[in-house]
Amino acid sequence: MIALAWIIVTLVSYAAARALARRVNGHPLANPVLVASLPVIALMVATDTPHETYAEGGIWLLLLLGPATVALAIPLYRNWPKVRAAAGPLLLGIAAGSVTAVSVALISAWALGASIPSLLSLAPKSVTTPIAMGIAQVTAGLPSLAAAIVIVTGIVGAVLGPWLLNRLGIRDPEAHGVALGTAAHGIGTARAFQEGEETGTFSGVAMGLNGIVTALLLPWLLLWLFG
Amino acid sequence: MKRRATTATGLAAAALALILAQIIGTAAMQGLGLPIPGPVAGLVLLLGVLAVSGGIPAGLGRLADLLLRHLNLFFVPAGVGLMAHLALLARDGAALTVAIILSTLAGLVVAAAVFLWARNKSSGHAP
Repeated sequence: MIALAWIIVTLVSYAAARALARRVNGHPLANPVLVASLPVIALMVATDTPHETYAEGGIWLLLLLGPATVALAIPLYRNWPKVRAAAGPLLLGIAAGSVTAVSVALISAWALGASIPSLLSLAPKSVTTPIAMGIAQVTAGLPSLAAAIVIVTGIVGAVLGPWLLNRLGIRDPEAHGVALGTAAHGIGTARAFQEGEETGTFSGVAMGLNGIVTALLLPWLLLWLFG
Repeated sequence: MKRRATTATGLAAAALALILAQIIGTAAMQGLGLPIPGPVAGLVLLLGVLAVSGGIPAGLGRLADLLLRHLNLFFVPAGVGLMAHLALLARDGAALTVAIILSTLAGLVVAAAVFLWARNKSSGHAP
């Protein structure tokens, strides 16, 4: 009964966050997850509700994440001709960007003294949230911390990415797409579609391929490093 | 009426396909003892099935669009779940923030630069 009430609170909060995001044309800072979580947390604090009570209802929404992850196959299949046409450069760009993001993240956080659970949750930061949470689960990271890190990563990439690339003289739409999809997943892809259809498509493809390859390889690396 | 029924059946079949792919993927990874998330294995499996069958059934396309359009909703519980890790955030928050900013910008630039380099190389002559 109480669990059901928290699902309703979550749905209402999400609907409001979506409406806000639409009003500001999908600005990355108005990320619906970020905006929707805050009122729910505020209500929990106000009513002195422990997280376990919320999670009883929240688990129903989290359960849908598995099938939704599988569904990522559909946009990838739709864009398959584009993937094949640029397969070599695409895979090289994604692999290089992905390895850079993971290693810079782990080394800098480790150098600044972050703990092992934080490092494990940080490692899958540049892949789309459902895949990152799945990776955190199999590597004994913290899925909800991983999700938060992924979202902040996407916001940083979407807000600063196009600006930085332009400053460095990289203006090619396909390159912008590959960079945003590889380093900033879905939030970066939403930003990429604002730049144009071509940028958005390449970003979506890069996000999908990066997610798959990272999920297949990163857990081995983490088990070897921290296992 | 007939059309609606077909669509409902198509959506149910699509839901079944997604769940089955996830279950098979999860069971296979657990059976093989591989540290790969089950849903990702299911994604690869479904991609393979689509490639072999050569098309996306209408119901599956519609259900996937619906799920992916509202993907953010499924993360709200995770966002709220961050409450459970406040102590860890207080300890590592600053290190994580620095790491996120540095690595995201580095990953962006390297991905774009390597992609451009490889594309110019593979096309032989730059346009």
